[in-house]
Amino acid sequence: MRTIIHSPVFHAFFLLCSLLLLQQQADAHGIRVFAYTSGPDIVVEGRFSSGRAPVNSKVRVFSTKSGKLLLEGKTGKDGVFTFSRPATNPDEGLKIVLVAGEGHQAEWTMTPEDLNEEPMPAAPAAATTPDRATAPDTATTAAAPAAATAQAPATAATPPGQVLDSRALADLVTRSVAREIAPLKKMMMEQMNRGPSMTEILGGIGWLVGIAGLLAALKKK
Amino acid sequence: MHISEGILSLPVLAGGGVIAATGVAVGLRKLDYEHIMTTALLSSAFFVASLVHVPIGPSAAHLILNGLVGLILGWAAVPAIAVALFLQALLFGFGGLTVLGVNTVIMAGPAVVVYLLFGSWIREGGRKQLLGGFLAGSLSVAMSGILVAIALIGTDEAFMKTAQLILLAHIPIMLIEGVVTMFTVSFLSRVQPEILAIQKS
Repeated sequence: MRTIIHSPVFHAFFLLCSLLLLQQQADAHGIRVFAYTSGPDIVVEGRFSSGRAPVNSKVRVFSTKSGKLLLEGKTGKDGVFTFSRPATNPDEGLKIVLVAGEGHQAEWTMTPEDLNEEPMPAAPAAATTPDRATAPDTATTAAAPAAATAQAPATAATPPGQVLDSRALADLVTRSVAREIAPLKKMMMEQMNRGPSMTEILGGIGWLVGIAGLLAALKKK
Repeated sequence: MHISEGILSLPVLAGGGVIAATGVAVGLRKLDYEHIMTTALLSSAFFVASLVHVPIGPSAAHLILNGLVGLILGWAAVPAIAVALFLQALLFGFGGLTVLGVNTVIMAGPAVVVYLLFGSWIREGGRKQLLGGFLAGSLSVAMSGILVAIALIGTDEAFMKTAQLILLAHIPIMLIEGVVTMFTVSFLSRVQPEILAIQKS
């Protein structure tokens, strides 16, 4: 045992470990996928744990309830695939599977709560402003939500301070919140996708030494 | 070259598990008291090798070192690699627990094969030792790639295409592994020849 500790092999091994300390890069074969809602769309992002994006990788979206394949697509150059939110039952979630080829695959589940977080108060709120939300008005808002900001001049005939009907307002808020938290969601994903930390690496080596000790104790007779 | 969870069918997973368990049992039986520490060292080297990144063009590959582990440990490479893969799955999230058996076969199978093919060359020294080290390092990576493609038969990835893709992507790492294994072996034979004499049988 003592010869091992003084042996060049052991030193070489320590050199390898210290190299790792300097160059803390992750490997290429862990892959993760992450999905979030963004307005009417769902954004799927994949990452290898080296930080590289999986290009042109298949994305399959299943229903968690029926297990049925709902839609299929491919990631772009940035490893992102965006699709419009499929019609789902209130108790139905989405299972998103990213297939990066050569045995690489990852999945992410969106619960019904994840999916239903957005299209909210519109209906009850609209009821409190009965005559303001006239039929043609709501129709344009629903058809072109992007025009929400342009709503102000369009409804110029209404008294000042009452420029937006509640539906357009809800839409506007949803959009700006989505825009604001998009970088946060991205950051969260990057946090999750960090490669193994030094703690885990050293922990693993510790386990190996421990197992060797156990084996040695068992075999010594 | 780890296969992720949720890709392979149950028979493939079970088959891999059985083969891996047999290999581990054989390896443990052949492992004697004096060489436990060497085995643990090489197991640790394998455990961290996949974190050592070699940038190649736009992408990057990592060392595998299964050839080196096999050459030095022989059959004991199977338990050494199995434990390292188990810890990688548990701590790094590479591969997974259900695919552990298959991944062990993919990595440790070629390790044993290169030991059987080149083990005696390594112990002879001279030019044959260098050549054996290089071939063991590079061929074990190639064999692992082919085993991945075989394991993926029956999924929607066609065998020939996958095998080609993996082999092409790993040509640089095959060369690097070959050189690393060659130099490690010749270094060991000069400074600590007894480590190479681990299993003469």
